[in-house]
Amino acid sequence: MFPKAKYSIASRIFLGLAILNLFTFVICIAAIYSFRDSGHKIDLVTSTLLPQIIVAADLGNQSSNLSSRSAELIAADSLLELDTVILRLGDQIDAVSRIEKKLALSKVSNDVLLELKDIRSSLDNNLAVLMTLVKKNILLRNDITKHIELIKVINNYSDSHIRDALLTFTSKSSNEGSALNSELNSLFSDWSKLSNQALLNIATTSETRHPIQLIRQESKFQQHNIERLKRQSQLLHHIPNLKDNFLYLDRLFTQIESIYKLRKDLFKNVSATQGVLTIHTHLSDVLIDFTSKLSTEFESKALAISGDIHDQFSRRTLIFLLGLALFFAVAGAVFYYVDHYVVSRIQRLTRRIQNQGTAISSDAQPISGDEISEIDASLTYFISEIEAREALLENERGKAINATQSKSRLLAAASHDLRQPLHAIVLMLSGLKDHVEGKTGNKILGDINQSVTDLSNMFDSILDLSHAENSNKELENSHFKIQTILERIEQEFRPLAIKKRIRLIIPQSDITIFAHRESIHRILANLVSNGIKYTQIGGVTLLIKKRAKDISISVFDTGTGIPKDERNQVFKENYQASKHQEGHGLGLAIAQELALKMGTEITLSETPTKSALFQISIPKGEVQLIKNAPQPTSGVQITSLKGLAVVLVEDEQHIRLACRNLLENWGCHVTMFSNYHDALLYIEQENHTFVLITDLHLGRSQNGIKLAEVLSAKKGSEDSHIIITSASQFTKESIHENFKFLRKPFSPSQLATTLRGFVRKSA
Amino acid sequence: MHFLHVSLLSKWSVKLINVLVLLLLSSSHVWAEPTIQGKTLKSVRDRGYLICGVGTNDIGFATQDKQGLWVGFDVDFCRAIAAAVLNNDQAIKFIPLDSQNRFRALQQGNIDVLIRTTTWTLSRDTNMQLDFAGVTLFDEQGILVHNHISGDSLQNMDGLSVCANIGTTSLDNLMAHISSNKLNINVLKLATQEGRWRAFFNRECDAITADKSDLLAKLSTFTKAKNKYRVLDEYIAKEPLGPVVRDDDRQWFDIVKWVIYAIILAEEKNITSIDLANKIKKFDAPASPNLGLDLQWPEYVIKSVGNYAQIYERNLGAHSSIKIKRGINSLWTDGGLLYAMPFK
Repeated sequence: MFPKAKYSIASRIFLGLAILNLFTFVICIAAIYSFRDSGHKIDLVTSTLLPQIIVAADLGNQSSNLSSRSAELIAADSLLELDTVILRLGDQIDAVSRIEKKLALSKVSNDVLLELKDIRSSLDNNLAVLMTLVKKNILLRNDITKHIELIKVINNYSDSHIRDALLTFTSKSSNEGSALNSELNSLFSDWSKLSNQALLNIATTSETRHPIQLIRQESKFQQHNIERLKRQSQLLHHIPNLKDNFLYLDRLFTQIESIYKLRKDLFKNVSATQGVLTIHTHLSDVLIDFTSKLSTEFESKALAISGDIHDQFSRRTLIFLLGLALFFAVAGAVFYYVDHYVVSRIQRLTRRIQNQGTAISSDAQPISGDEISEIDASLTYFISEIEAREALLENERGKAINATQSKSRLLAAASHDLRQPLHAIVLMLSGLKDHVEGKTGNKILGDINQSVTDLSNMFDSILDLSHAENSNKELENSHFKIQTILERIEQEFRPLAIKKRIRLIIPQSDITIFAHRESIHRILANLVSNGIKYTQIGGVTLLIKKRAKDISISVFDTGTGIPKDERNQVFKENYQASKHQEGHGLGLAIAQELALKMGTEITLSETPTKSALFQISIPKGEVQLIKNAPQPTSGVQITSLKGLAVVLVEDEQHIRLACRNLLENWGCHVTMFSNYHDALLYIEQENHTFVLITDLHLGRSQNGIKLAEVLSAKKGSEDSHIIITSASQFTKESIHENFKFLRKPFSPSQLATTLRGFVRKSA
Repeated sequence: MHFLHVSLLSKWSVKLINVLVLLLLSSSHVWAEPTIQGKTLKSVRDRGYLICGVGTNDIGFATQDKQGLWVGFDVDFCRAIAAAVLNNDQAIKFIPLDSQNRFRALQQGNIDVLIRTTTWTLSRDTNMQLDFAGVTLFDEQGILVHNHISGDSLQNMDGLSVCANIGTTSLDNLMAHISSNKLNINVLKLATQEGRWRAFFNRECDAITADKSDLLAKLSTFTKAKNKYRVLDEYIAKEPLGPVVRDDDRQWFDIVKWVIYAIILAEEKNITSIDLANKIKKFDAPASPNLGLDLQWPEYVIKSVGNYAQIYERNLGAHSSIKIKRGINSLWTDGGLLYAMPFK
């Protein structure tokens, strides 16, 4: 039977690849997962932080513009310039409010938005104040310019008219008195000087640096004005028609006074503008601070995240390098696994095959292809090697078998030939008994008898074994009732069991078996004999079981059993359970040999009481196919006695055994009895035809003749074949004429001749 | 002829005015040249107002309110001088100056007195033809940092960048501090006060250094300033601040000096602007004709600005938004350094 592998190479390679794939899969999943995290962070930077940074940068731009504009505001020389700057500032604050909206969109915290809103609205409010102040400034300046223009106009007009009126007056009054004339002249000169001083005063107001200066100027102007009014009233006293002209001039001075008021307002307003500008500067600082803080925060956040990402990536890189190393390790392990469990085993196998095959050729021939090709080629080579060796071995075996067979045949022939003189010795020894006298002589004769019996048994055994081994041809099986065998066993071993005082149980059975009849008999006889031999107390039991497919026959005893380690030895030729026991150790070997020949086997196990239990399985037979036992055929040959049933009654054991061996050698079926009563019982019950060979003296004055007479009476003197043997001086004449008489010691040929006489007679 | 003269005059009046104005403007330079005792007092009186050099938008010390009115600690001392000299604390023109041009403005006579958180040092006193008339505030140098900067001292702020103004003792002190301690600190030098602050707010520098009171005053204008910045508790240098005058006019120097003492003395004698009328005799100031002032000048001073405590609390202390404790700027009787010379 060929072994079948549990695993296939494909499955091993598949397992390796599966592990590798699983590992790759895990690495891929880890990579996807880890990059997802980094992706989220990058997303955060690009979608939230980057817009925030951009917005903050925009805000920074605007705030620095605002603060630089505040410098422009301070530096602005004209109000128009200031106005322009303020308009631009307004634009920038609007831009800040737009940035505010963008910031709100870019997920900035509410606190930040509120702070920016605060700053922005403060800037806005401040700018509104600044705007009003600047507008007021412009209005004031315009007012002042208008007043000055008006002053110029009035001055020019009144100045010329008054001069004309004076000239007219002086020319008219030049004749009346020079005293008044000169008085008027000096009065006019004073008045004119004071008026001009007042005008000069108002012209210098635009150059005043400080309200204090303006106030001083104003008080000077007022002093001058009082003086002027004094002169004016004196002049009017002399020249009343100047009244209208002076009224014009009075209006002029009212204008000048209002210019002072406007100038003072302008000072206040400019001062307030400076105050508001200071606040604007401060607010710009606050915005710059806010913006830069925001940018710093965003930048540091972005830097932190980018640092995170960087760290993450460098960690990942390390992990992936490790993963790669691990991957190579796993791949190496898989490769080792495949190499160890597949390739190298194939290689080892190849080496083994090659080693087996190198007896003839040790040269390795390089071939194209891999290990499989190699093993294929090696196997091909190996098979051719084996075939060559097989042929050689077959040849050798044939020779050996021939040699063994010829030896066995020689041994068998020798045994057969040696048995004839041996039996002669035995029979003659029985005759010699009567002629030996004296204690010493009888003792020696007994010993010789014993030795000869042993020798005879040994020859029998050798012959049996040789016969079993040599019969190359198939044993001729037949259908028969096992009962026939059981009866023979009973006959053969009952006397022995009785003698040994042990129980022998042989059942009655109706079972038909299909086997070689003689082999079965020999096997069972040997097993029972073996059992009796090794049993001192108890008994030997033969058991037949009908099983589903076959028949099981068991033989077990109540002996000491066979130790486990000796069980393998039991069926060897020279095995003996105990050295003190008689026997030649061939019985079991022969039985097993015959069993194997029949295609079955004797197994040895033990009974629950540790005694030996032999078992043999035999095929079932068919009752319909039972053939009658072949009848003995007539002839002068020894073989013509084959199948002849002989009942041997002899109280002398050595003679009984020798005689039985002789008869069985000739093919007779021998039933032996050692005493008169057993034999008588048998004769009375048995209906078959048989030859009775009985000793004359059966001890205790029991007489063989009585048995012969019983048989003769039962079957009739013609049909009863009786041989009476005796070593005594008993005469032939004293015996019934139908009875044959052989004097001990008789030769085997004498016995054979007598038996043949019976066979011819019955044929 | 007279009329002709008059008409000519009126015709060319505008041109003439321009010429006169030019003459008037150049007159101050003309007068500044010779060293005449009392010339400053005379020019102030002639002018009608005092020209006081102050800081630019220097919160707590010199800044303009919404109406454009100048307020501050330094401003109040200017007003005190104006009150003493002119009996009018509004008769002042304030000239905002940066740390670099302040001394030049004084030396060239563009201002009558410099009260602009200026530190009294030996070299300034002796090398610049200037005189320090006293100390109005005993200050020390401070360092303000953005809150995100860690560390509590310059020693453990490696690589820090600090903004400072050119021409200030703060910058000199910082450089000296850095070199003596071998610190790795970058110094960003800026010309103007505003530029310095802007650079700081714009995170161009991590820290800013100036007089501690100056820094604290600026902080007071920021909401949530405590969350954004902090002043390091590290001593770098003393900063005694006071008014500066040219050293060519002893009378003017004395006036400024004694105005300061009058203010301190008022606190010593517990005279305030409110109960002045009842307590004015406490001054008991002897006549000092060489000072060139009205006899009632201390009364004018206290009436307009109050005593030292009033000035301090109004501008820097409890009544201001800045709320700096007086510390060493207390009277000598309270363990401070303020000590008025006797009015004897």
